[in-house]
Amino acid sequence: MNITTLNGILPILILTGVGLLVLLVEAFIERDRERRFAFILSLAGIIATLVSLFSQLVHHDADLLLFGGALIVDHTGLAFSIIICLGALLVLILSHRHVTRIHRNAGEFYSLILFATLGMHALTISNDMMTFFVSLEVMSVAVYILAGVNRKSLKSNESALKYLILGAFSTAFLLLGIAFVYGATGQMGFMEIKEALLSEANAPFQSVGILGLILIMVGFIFKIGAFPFQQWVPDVYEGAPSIVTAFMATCVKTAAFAILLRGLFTFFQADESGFLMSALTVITVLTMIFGNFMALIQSNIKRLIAYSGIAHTGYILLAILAALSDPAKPDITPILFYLLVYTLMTVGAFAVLIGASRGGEEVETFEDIRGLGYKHKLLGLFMAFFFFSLAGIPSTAGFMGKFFIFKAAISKELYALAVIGILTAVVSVYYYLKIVVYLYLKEENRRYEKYSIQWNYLLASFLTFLLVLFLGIFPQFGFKLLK
Amino acid sequence: MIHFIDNIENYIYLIPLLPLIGFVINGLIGKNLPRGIVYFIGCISIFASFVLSALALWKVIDTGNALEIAYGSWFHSGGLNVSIGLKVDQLSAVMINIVSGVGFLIHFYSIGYMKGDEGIYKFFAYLNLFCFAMLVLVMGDNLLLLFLGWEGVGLCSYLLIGFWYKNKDYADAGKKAFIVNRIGDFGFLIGIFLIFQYFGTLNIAGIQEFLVKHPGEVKLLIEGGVITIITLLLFVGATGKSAQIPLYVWLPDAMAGPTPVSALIHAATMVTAGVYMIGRLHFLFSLSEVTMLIILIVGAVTALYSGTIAITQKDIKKVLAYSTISQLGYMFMAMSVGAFSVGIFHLMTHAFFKALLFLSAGSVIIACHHEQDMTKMGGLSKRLPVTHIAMFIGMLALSGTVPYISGFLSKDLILEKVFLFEGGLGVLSGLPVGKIFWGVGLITALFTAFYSFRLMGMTFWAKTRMKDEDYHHVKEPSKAMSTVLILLAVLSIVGGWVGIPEILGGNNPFHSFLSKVFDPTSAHGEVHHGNTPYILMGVSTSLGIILAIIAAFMYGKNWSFPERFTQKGIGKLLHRLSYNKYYIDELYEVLFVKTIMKGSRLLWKWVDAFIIDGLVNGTGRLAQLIAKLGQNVQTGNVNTYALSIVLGVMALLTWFMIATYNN
Repeated sequence: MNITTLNGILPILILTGVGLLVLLVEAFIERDRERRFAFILSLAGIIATLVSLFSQLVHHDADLLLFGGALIVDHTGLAFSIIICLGALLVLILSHRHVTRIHRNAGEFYSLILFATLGMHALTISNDMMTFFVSLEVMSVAVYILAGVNRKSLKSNESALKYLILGAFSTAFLLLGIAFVYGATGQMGFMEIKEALLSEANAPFQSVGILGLILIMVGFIFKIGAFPFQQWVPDVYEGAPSIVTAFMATCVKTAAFAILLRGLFTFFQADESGFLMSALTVITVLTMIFGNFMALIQSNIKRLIAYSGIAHTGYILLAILAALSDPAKPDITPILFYLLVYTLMTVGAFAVLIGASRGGEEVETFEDIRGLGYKHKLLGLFMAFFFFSLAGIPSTAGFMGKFFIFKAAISKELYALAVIGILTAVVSVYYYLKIVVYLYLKEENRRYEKYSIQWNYLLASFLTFLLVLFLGIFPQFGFKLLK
Repeated sequence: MIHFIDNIENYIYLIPLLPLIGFVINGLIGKNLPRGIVYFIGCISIFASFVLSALALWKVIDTGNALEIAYGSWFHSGGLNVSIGLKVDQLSAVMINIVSGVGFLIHFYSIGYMKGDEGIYKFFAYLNLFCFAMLVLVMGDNLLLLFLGWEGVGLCSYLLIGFWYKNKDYADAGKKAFIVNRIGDFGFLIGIFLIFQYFGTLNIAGIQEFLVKHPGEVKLLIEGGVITIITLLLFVGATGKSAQIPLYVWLPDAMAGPTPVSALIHAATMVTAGVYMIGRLHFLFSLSEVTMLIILIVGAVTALYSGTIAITQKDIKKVLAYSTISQLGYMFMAMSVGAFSVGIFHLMTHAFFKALLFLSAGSVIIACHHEQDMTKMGGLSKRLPVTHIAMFIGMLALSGTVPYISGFLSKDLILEKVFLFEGGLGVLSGLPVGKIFWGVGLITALFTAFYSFRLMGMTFWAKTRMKDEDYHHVKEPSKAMSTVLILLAVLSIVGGWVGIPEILGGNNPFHSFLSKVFDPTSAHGEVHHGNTPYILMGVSTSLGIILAIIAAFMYGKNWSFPERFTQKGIGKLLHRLSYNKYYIDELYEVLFVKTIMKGSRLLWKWVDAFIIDGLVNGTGRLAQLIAKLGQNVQTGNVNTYALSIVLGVMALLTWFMIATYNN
């Protein structure tokens, strides 16, 4: 193992090491101090990972193949991992102190976050079916547990169980797909599979291979929560503790998109019938429509965010379609930029929602946030801003994200898709604004007692607020960050 | 100082920046500042901006050249390179002076109007933010900057309509305005994308240059209908912002906001953004006859339609709101016949007299303790002499019944230009299109005269319907407010004198000033059409005066005749239709809001309940198998979810097989 290899897997080593260390801390340190120690340790771990990812990105000049091509450290993978780690960092900041409300052992919670992040990073840089599958499971298993981390809550338990059963179910299809692909090509590496599928000698097996790819795609679509495999999303998001929901909605989704993108870029050229593309087009349209219209009729805010998350998945799929229609020089910056922005504003919105929850009760209905803007001015302002950004109102990063996606779609002549996207975005304004209206809705003759909130919620929401505002005005900075 | 004035082009960024600074100060620390300081910051920032705008205008007049300042690249992504720059040409110079000038007067008026409101710092912060966005809109040298301003003013409008958040109705009005505008913006945004797609730039001067440099390509684009599609999409945006059919519904509801807001945003400035945008891109709009004809039809129908609604409204602000919609229709008519400078001229005079009317209405409302129902007023001329005179002048301007007053000049020019319009496509070809729409415009003018003086009669002249003690408590508003009314009244009279046409003994410097933007090639001067303009003017003015007098008589005493007329028969029916705005709001509610909600619920039921549950019941074995998987889970949903995954996979695979076998 030389120094280049070591450098390439450094993020993995850090995350594994710190994750184990945090888990061990519990055994040796008394409870009160353990919480803070575990928190600081995990924070340091994630920051170190971020730094190492950044340094790799900055010094990146050629794709690095590791372990006989099992891992590929390339620009795309690193950029995705940075977004994921940024999300994980924010979730960690949020969970300080909050975590003891939902789970007895802080260390367990933090280490699960770290292990999940490890799986995600490995996923973004995996380059063969084996690594990809193992990383996916490392991530998934950790997240299954996280969804049920609040053992006292029936809803949390139910959410975890549902996620586990349905996740396992979709994984079965994925495995079947991998088997088909292996059967058709005899290869496990992504590149080798692609070559085999394209080679003349293998022509008779081509459709079996494509069949396998379709089944694999089912697994991906499940993870990103796109139509028609989205049913679990609202149930699981609603039931899981908000902090875990924030993690799932951002980091898990980004990781799933990373591998979906790698898979599509590698394989869709091997599919000469163009089936993958047309299937993806249909899925994109239905996801945008379904997510937005379902969000319209929700009365529970977490469910609303879940459905709107499905809608955002649709927009990102649209960006992927636009990138795929120019295979020679695919431009993935709109995808990365949107994911970055989406992660920031979603975590930000959850930061406010969690911060606003009083006495362990989670914010659920519109009534729970009525007049929040008067109880805590800053929190209300941030929340309104995040929802404006999610709705894509200019001067927020959410607008820029949508702008680049729709522009890419139109310049690739995907007119119908762009029009559907923009129209459904108009629909989304309705339900996002509804939240903002409730934030500032007064009840007659009622005085609102102002309250203070913990520093970490303020810090997380303030950081995201600044970034969303900044990226909304200077999007170029976001491009530089990811390039 | 001299250096500063001479090099004003280097400082034009201050024009939008100063109100932004005002917003930041009042928004961040305004709560802890004494009221006086809040007022001062709010007003001085926009006043300074006005001074700079005036200097910029002077410089543009002096040199005849646009002031430009470029700040280099903003961002670039996939071939799209957006630079950021401000430009004050003749058109923008007029606009920034309207925005900052009228804006300042309304800021100043608000000190009196919003007295005692605890959120005053927020109010001024929002007003300043609005001015910033509006100035960016009119100064931006590319479409993206224009669009940002466009959205920014919409956001401020939303914030200010719902400013009091007294109840859900107010908040809903703001929401409605915002969402209806988003529908318009959807068209606008696609139009912008297409412009980039075909012209490769979003810079306004760049687009114009492209049209000049590539005549061959442009010809293809015109013949292929691309230009028509682009301009129609842009016009969809304009119908949203400028409250034209079918997207006008938000403006009357927007009257829920404080009256100064109605004056500034919903009368003088923001709602004219659509007209400005067409003026800004006139070179593009002129290329599509179809679009121009559609604009003419929409403008004319809107003008007449909202005029017929305004004559029955009881709420004083609603009358003015429908009147605004109607007047905007006039502006679009002017733009659509290619009389761009006339449209902008009406935009300017309308800004003066409509701001005056709203602010006068504001002082009536304050004097009557926030009563807006005109049937509960009357006789106020004795109690509110200054407001009375101010509003009277405003109404004279609006109805255009007195020669040489601002509204008369601009409205009459529009009617003349429409009359002389010779065009018409499709079913309209061969018809005297100009004369038909002139007729529509004329009838609208008669409605305008009628409702103007109906309002005057009901509010000021008729016998009062207020309680004695209330009536005696009515008193003129503060000095600051009266001063603003007087200033705006003067502007409403003389504001149009820069555009006196030759037939009335002027030389229309306004037109020749703007011709640098709109018509740089043709020599200055108008074509003479013999006596026609005089006849047109005579017809519209004399009929207008007659209608005004009728209205004044009908409503000037006790309006018993109109009450009797509307109590039975055809009168009742017509009154009902007009008073209830032809039930369009209700229709929209059923057509769109309810349908979408119902559709969503149906979709949910259909996907979740019907398809999946139905199949669960139907395909017994498979369902049982999967039910086993999830039998330990209480909700029983998991099995249906799992089944839906199977169904999704099966659908995909079936599709794949069909696709493969077809190959």
